[in-house]
Amino acid sequence: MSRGLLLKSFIFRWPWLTAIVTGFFFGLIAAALAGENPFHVMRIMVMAAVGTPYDLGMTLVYTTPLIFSGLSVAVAYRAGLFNIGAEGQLVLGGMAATAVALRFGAQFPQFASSSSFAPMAIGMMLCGVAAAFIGGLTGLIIGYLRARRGSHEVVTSIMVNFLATAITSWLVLEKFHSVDTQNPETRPVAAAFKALAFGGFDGAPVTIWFVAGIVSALIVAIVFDRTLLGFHLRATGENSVAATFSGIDTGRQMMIAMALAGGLAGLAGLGDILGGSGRYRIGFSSDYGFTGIAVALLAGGQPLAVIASAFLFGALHKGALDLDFETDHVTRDLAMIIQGCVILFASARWFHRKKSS
Amino acid sequence: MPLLKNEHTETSKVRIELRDLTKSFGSVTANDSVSFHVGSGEILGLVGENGAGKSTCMNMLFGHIEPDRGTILVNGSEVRFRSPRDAIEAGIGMVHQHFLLALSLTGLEHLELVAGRGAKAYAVKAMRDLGFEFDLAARVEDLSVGQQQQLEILKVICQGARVIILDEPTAVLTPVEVEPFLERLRRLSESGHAVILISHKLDEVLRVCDRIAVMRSGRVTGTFDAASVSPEELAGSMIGEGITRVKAKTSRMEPGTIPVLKMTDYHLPAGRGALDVSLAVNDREIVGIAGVEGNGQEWLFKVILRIAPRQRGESGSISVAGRELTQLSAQKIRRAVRIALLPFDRRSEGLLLDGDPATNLLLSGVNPSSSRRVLAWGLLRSRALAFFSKYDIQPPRWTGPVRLLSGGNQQKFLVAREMEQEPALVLAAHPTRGVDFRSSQAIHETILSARGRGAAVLLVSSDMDELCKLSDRIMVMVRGKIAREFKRDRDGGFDVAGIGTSMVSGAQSGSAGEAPTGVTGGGAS
Amino acid sequence: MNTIFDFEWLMSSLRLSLPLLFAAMGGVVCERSGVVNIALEGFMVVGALAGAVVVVATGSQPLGLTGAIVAGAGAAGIYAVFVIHGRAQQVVAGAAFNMLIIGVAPFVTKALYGISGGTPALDVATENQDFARVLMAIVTCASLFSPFAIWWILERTRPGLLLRFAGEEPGALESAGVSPRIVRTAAVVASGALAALGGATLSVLLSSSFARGMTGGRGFMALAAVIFAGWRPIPAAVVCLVFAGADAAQIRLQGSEHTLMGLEVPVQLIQALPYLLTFIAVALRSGVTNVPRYLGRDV
Repeated sequence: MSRGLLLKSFIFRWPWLTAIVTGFFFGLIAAALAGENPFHVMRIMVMAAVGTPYDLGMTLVYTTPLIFSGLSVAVAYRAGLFNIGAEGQLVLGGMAATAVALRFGAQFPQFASSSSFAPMAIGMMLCGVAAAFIGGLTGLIIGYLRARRGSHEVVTSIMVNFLATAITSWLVLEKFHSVDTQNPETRPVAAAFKALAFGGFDGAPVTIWFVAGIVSALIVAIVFDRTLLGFHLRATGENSVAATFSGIDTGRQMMIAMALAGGLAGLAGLGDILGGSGRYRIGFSSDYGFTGIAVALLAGGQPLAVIASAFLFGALHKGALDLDFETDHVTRDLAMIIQGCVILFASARWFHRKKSS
Repeated sequence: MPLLKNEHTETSKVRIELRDLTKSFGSVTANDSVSFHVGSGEILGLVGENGAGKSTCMNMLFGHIEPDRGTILVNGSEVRFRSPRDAIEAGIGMVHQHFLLALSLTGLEHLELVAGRGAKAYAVKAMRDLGFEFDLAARVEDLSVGQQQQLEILKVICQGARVIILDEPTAVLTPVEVEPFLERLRRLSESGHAVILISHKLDEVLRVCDRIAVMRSGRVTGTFDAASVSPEELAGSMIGEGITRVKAKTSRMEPGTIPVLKMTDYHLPAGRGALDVSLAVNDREIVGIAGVEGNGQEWLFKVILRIAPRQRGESGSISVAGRELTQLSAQKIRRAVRIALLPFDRRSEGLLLDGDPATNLLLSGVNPSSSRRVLAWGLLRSRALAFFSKYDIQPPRWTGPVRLLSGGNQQKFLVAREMEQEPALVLAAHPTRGVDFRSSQAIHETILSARGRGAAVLLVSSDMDELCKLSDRIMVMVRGKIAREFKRDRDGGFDVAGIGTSMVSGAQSGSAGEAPTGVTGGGAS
Repeated sequence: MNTIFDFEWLMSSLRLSLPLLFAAMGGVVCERSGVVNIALEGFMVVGALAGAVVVVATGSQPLGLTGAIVAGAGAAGIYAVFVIHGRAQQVVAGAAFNMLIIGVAPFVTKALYGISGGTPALDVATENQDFARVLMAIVTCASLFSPFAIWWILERTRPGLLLRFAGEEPGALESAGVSPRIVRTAAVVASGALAALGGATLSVLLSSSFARGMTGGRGFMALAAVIFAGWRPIPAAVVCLVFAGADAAQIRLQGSEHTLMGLEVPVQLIQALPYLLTFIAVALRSGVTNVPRYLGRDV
């Protein structure tokens, strides 16, 4: 085979890989234009991402919310919908969990201050259910408006994102404000709700929520692959006409998909709220919801691939943090640049084999 | 601007001729030596079933594709169309069946798009000459369908077209709009244009055309003078002369007496698909629906399966196995009664093209696992493989996307999937379209054996041989109504000529002969 | 309540509406041609940054605004390549583009000035104060005039006709021999230029530098206004003025207790009002009317 043909078959076989490579390429060009040696930049990023146990731990800390938001977007995508509202759902879900934790802690102070297994298990579950419920409700509303009223979910989602910011801002500042500081954050949650960090990461707050993310990915994969519900969702996304002809209520499937997506996104913030910082801080999310879109796109909507994709973007985020200090000309925003390039190239159809119609 | 470029005088004559036009796609010959001509003041009707080659022919005439052999002559000189632009420059204009109109913009804006600022004056004059009547300043969505069509024709005229091709123009018109439309066509040709009318509505074609060209299987099977041709000749040319009588199999199963599908006074208003049907299909019975495509057959299926969009004015009853369907949702129906569906468009309505055979089994509710909610892929895959071997589907151990199977194999798989469920009711549309002979035979056997096991079968087909071979009764559907019903005669065959005529002239209901009884088992209805 | 809505409030509203109006006009032009534009925010950042950079370099505000327009057009051109030629999912590409720009901006400032995130303060020498005020007045008038201009272009000129067809029925364009892709590309580039101008007003006229995050979601607010107003330029402008008026009122009220009919109105509610209204409007109109029929569909 000629070299051109070899390259082409490579590109079409793994479009996501090509997108990653191209994205990084352009990002490093930007670094070079700023006056830094791109290889030096690359080395710093890799070292910062996985160089020490602490670094790896922080990468996993950033990966956790991305797994949830990536799954959220992926679930919606497989059913033929866009969940741009993951950001709002994660904010509202996180707020719900915080509210539950704080109220519960106030009602049952002795129970809540204990760090033994049973109270913690109950505490985590309570918060998880609250977060997933509120997130899911948000998603369901958006899904309902799309399925039964034809309102496009992108528009409603973006509006809900802003509303979520406003609502949580009010709640944090007026109802749950921390008494100790002026920061825009709530009081800390009681011990029963604060997840413990795993030991091997030198203090990086990798908690049970990371494991929860992996487990969620497995559950989503099983649901999609091995249950009738999963099949109905996929059929709705793949060919809604054939799905309708076979008796599937595609509107109902859309609502279910959005509710599931919202529930997953709702859990995304818990790794930080109930793990790292132990409270709800306004702006704690470094665009986890939007990055989830990148994660899901690169993973092709496959739940298990979302884990790897989330790790990539988490590593990118962590890796770029040190760039502020270690270089003169490049900042942590390089991660955003690379991310944006990767998605742009992944979303364009140049790398995708033409499907014969 | 096209208007100034194609400044033909009102009296200039035009004549186009297609000579031996041939086009193949791979191994399929879509057009084989197609020849006809039409000139100013003439209306030529082009008729033929779907798949007969009409679209390919018109695509070549309009420049979308180029012929392999043969020539197109405009006013005696040979021309080559490399794109629609060339055809437009040569004065050929096409009005598509699906209008290319922007609903929220006005008619005048469409004309200005096509012909620039001077469009209005020219258009007003043309409208006067042709008897078009609608408000150019009105938005397209406020115009009736008939008026929208006038706009489409006007667009084409403002582009300077002298030859006007209309593709299924009356398919979208209500019965009341048809006569004015035909009148306008006459004025169009009288004003010097050459008109090609592609249509399924043979009665209209007979009324307005000067000559009629019939296409079947890629060839022109006859060119007739409209005034002197008989409906039988026309139908014969369309359907196929060879077999006028089909000998029945000696052992013909007696249909059962329990009505499985029963439609009583079912009425759907003319908004989308008009239907006005009373019919019944018993167990162990195959009822064939003949009729030119687009006369309501697709709506029949959609309405039975309850997947048609809800419409006001729907009335009447549909029941399957005793259960009234009009109150049930699509999912409930599928759960209550096993209905096998061989859809009109298998690629978009019946299959998940990117899925493997096992995934596609799920689409019809085949779920061999013990639990209703969990899927057993191993069982599904082995079931799929069993189908492949039992029904001789190629390639035998295929596990890739169904998209890559040949059309015939896709259909065989679909038939296998649907029929293996022991359905009570089978809705089959063109089950062997695009399928090779051996596979067609196998599919027919499958349908017959499903019938033998007690199923009621509603079979829609444009293949006369197929209908005559399988059906116990044949109903002819015209404009959403059952025009006539045919039973097998003493020799066990069907009156094919009569069926053909009925398809052609069935607009007149209540013709002499058998009135539609609708319900078997005697005349009492 | 009467004390809030006085002349000062009106002036404040007009100022605050500048970026919104231009961005909204950009949104109208782009979406009417059938291309979803979530990247308005990104284009605004491009304009704000480019405007500030040019002013730092040349000291001239008009040049800054012009530079912003050019930069916006260029950025939109890149966006158009991905979306129209690459047929990328418009929503995803828009979000990605925003991400990209938000990363590029501080990058550029660090590379040029060594500061991460913002440009140095723009020096407006004292002699130029009057000129600055005149410029401000001109630009404000232009922004108020622009909806009418856009309306006129869309409804009364041939380019506007082509653009509307691209959004409603691209097939009609093709059958008339016009390429819908070219029309859409032109629309996207124009919208980038307009939105960038809106962003530039933020950094060049309304404040004195470019700072990280200064657009603050205004691009989305402009998009909300466009959708709420049914993609029509003059209603969209009215909506933008209402949003800006609410914003101006909210700024006045900050810090003080404010009641409406005895109920305490949280400041977040007023901030969220634009989005809440748009959400309700979209939810109520089942199947949004007026949406360009081919919005989001490839050609």
